[in-house]
Amino acid sequence: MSITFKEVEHIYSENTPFSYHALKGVNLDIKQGSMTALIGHTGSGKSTLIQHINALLLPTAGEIHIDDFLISVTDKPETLKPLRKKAGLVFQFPEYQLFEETIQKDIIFGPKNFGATEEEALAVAKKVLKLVGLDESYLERSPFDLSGGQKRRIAIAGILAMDPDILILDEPTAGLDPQGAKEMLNLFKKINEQGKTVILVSHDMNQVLEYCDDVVVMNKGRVERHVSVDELFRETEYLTSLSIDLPIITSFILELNKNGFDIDPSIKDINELIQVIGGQIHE
Amino acid sequence: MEKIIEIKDLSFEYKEDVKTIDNISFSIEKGTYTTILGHNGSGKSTIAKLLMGLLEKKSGHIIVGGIELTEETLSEVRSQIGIVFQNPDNQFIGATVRDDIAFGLENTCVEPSLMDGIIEEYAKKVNMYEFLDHEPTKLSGGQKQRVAIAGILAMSPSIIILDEATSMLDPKGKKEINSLVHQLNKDKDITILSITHDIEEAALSDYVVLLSDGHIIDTGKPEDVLMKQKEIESLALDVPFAYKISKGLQAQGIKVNNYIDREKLVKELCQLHSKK
Repeated sequence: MSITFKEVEHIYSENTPFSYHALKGVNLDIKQGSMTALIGHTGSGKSTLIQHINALLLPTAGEIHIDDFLISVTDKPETLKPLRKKAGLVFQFPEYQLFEETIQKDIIFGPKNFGATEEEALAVAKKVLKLVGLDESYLERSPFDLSGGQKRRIAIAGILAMDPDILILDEPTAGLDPQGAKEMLNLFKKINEQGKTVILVSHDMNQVLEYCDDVVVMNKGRVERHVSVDELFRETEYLTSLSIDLPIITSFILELNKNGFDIDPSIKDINELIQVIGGQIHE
Repeated sequence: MEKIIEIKDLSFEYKEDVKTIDNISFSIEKGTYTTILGHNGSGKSTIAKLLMGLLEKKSGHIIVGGIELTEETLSEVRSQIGIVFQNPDNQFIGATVRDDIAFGLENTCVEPSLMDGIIEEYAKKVNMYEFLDHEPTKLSGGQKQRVAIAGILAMSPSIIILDEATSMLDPKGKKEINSLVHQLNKDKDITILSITHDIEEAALSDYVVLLSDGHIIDTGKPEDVLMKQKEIESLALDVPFAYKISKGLQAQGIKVNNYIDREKLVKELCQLHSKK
């Protein structure tokens, strides 16, 4: 499943006084099977961009190719329903979108909508529940009796139940504790290693550095960079100009480098960093 | 130092015989910045709600500013505390920023002629003066939380509780709120009680209460509590980054002190580097 954007524009409420130019000339080629981070300030166009991948939004100019699907200005969203199964989008705080009285009903809603029988959908529900780290006893419970972190897992299970080839996640770990966030990211990494393309919108650069291969930087509706994570974190001047929160490890290295050390800022592993600092003190 | 919050043998149950808070005691000194640290579901937010009298304790004592919280003293205790919740969208009441800040004041018999002046003063304090007549829907998450704080400040509380108040904000919003809160703590001597699972925030506070499954695991200065690696990791938390680096370097035979504050560690490492 390759994802290609060609000269994509999106203007909200075009030709009205409220018109807002959210995407400007976006060209992008996301590799199949990659785990790509999408970063940028609030309002930079990240959410608008990802909603084009499953055709929740249509471009106001340009086109998007998702494998054999072509999404363009003139398409009707109804003809794009099969695309929605291929590209699963998990919004921010997806737990607010749970609506059924039991977890089972909530998870099987999607597969049934795409033609699965009750039994098939139930088998899938059991499988995905296990994937997100919950056992079958949860099936009969109400999603509203769970903690925030558990609700988030259920909502994500609902998307996984559609077995999408592309998984798009908008800030999936916001509000989770460090352990919950780690488990969630390990799950996405596992799904990615099974060959699925994962796109992760995140403000947490620690996660980007640790889990992603590539990174797309959005700024004022444009794609400013599309590089490997290592490359991005070596571009220290550019990173500082973005005024994002650097990963703790990167900002620590930059502070040391300001004061006489000479350490590669793209180091991700704390043990490697300790070795390098030790080496430079001993030299 | 004067104790502003005292909690003694406090217990609370949502369901019978399942103790969410199990016989905890701790106290907080006036003017300090305290963090309550624990994983999701550890009981952190329940403590905040108990302090505000939003939940009724099963047993024990809560004393705020020398007054024991009871049904009779509820409003007296509440008037000392302001709370900022996690979701900025759930705490807006007014149709404009001005109305929102006014809401609390209207309930406290403030002379109407004085109200505008008070509202403007606190809007300025949180840098939201120019937004006074804006609609809340057009504000960013960080701006909404600042309005919530202005509304609280207008009630002149001596304590502000932050219940994961920045966890839904982007990095810019987080910075805005963190610097505002630290400034209030310094300038106005407001006691801050921050409920969080961010160990790096806890490392910069005056005092830490470490909570797990409704029990207090440890309390004390961050440099005492957060360096207990086994204890911290057993709670599914991570020790501060600076401490991991200090320990790793010591294992390599480098004589460096243990730190939880990254700035201090950088300083010492750079001194070692320049001496070589």
